[in-house]
Amino acid sequence: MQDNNDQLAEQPGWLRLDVHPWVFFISAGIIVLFVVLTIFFENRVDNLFTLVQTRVSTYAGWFFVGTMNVILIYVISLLLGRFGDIRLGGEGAKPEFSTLGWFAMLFSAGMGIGLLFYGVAEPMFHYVASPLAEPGTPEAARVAMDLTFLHWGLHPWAIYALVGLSLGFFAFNKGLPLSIRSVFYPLLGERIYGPIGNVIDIMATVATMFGVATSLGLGVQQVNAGLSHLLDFIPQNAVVQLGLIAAITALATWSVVRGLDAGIKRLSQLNVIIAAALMFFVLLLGPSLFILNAFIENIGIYLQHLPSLSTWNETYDDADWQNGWTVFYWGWWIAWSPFVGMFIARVSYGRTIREFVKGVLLVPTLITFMWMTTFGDTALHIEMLGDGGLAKAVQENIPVSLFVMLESLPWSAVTSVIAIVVIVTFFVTSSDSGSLVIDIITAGGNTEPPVIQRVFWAVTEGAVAAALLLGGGLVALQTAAISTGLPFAIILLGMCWSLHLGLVHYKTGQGFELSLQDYEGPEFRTHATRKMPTFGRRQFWMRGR
Amino acid sequence: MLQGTSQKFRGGCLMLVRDNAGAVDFLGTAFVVHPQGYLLTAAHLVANPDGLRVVPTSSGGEFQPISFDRVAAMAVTVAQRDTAHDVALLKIDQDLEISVPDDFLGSGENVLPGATVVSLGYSFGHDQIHTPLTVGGFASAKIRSYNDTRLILFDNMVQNGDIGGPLIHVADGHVVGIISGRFEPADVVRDSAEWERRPARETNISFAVDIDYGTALMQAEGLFEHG
Repeated sequence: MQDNNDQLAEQPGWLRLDVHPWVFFISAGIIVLFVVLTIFFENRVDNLFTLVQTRVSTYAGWFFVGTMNVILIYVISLLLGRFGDIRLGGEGAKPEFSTLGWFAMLFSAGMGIGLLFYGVAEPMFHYVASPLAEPGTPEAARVAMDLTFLHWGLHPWAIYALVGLSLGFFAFNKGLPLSIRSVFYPLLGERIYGPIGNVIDIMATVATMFGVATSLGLGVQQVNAGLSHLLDFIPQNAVVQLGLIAAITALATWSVVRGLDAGIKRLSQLNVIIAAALMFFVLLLGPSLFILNAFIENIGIYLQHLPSLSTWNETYDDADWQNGWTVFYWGWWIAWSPFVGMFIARVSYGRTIREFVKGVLLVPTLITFMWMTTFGDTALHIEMLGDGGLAKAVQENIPVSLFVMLESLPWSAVTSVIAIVVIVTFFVTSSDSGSLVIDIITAGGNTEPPVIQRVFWAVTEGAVAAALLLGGGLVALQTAAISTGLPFAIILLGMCWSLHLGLVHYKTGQGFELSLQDYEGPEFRTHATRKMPTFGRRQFWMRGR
Repeated sequence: MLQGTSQKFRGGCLMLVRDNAGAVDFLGTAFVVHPQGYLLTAAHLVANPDGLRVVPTSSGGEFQPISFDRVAAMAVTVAQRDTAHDVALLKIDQDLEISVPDDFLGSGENVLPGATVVSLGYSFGHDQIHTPLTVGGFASAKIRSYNDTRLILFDNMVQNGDIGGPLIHVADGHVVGIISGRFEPADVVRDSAEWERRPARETNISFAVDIDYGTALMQAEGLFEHG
């Protein structure tokens, strides 16, 4: 295997292919087949997607809800429990990034485009179509923010923390390849390198692909909405969106070719700065006092209602509201988790488990709450106490809601352009780092895979997003997230168990073991020598005086 | 904490003996450092590389007989030796399934005087106690010997049989030294060419050489290359 790699290394960079054959070709096959079928049966897949989404979320909704809560509880137990002192990379490992830089990277990886897509739309949607309160009342506003916080709060970050911690622990502390299959070493042993491991990695690849593609699909819809809102002559339709996907994918591909340091890192940093600027813009130009009040109150409501809301299953409601929201989010976060987890693991070397959980679970959750409060409550303020009209815009067209809200604030021409820039940069960074992660998995854990493979995955991501848009827009995107999230949810539960076993073994069960049961060597009679062996110290203490 | 440290390392601590025509002569202690069957010990124990054997014993959770009449002993060869720093790397000849903890090799650099350390060794192997002894103490000083060897002094009174055993830094759970001997400041008179060594005081201070010399040997053997 080693020789093989050396031979490959001598060939020119563009022709070099360094892949795990089973994982790469089967995942690529599944994804390409999906794209081809969707484009071929464009008109008929729409219904199929709706059917699949309804079935999966109706029959497996409880499973998603249960899984998310189990994982959150497990991750909190890691924060408080006896494994908190274990350091990723071993005792002597030093963190690679400053704490502040680490937070910024965690945050930019975890949420991305969704924040812009749903920041205004989601609270508005729940406000006018509240599943738990009389729509349009202050109570509905409270519930709307509470539900938004539920979907964007501790649960998704717990999933990321679990995957990131498992990957980091098994790669840095146990020396296994950086791939999802490695996490299952305590359960499967050497079998992780066999067919079971391949299946796990293929599932991770496909989930990542559709999770990222869902995001890209949302992003492109929103860029389209923003452009046509600003420039009247641009229509909102699939043709424009396909063109945008092609253009932005080309940008992402360029960034991938430029490499991690020159491309992705710079862009991510820029991205976080512009997004922060946009948030402070809205905070200052919008109803500042209302937002600050709401921030405290929303967190209070969230914490009070967390146990009941996070286990709510519509059991006694006779409704299917959750299918399009909670279950979709849970599926989406789960589908994203291999991607975000891999990224988080990569930047968290040298952190202790306690630091890790604090950093990944609590800090980004708080920043997300700040974001959601700023955008959501500004919108609610406009709707409840201002000119109104936002709710109608949201119900007609989710992607445009952000721009309608910005328009009602001063300097909307500037902020709308900034918003579009943020979406595009989020798009590019998600696409290129997503393709990097998929590339690492399909290259059998090689963290420096050849460029041509990255280009392949970046282009494929664009193609999947395009196919999903053609095949039914938002419903297709949600279906993709939910249906690839389901099998991966099972993997995540296994991951909790496997990580627990790994940690227990690491902390307590480790020792030196010699398997002597089979020993059939010679035996000797013991015999004590009275002659003392020479001490080495003579040499040390007497030489050179 | 010391109990955990002791349990972690005892299984890797083997008796080092020499096959003397069917009987074994006791030499000291060696400890496992690599799953491919490598052990570290003190170089001066294995100056003569013939007939070297290592004897595994149980990790000590139960009461053990004080000594064994017959022992199973595996042949070892000297893979690398650094006599200047008194470290040797041994290899078990036969194929054996060995598992080691993920993270147990440290460096003398990380030990400060006052740190709790544990030494492990077959202290009284010469007197036929075929069980390793866990002995605790503190790191006392870090010094360089006349030939510039980095030594960790610690306040255990090691016995002859402990030599070649591991010195373990409890806080990290890492091996930080290879026990080399008791510190006995000999009174050396070197007026003429024929120098004389006067009887030394018995001290309760022992010394171990920095494990870094051992890891250097492992590196020379290619044990840290990826694979």
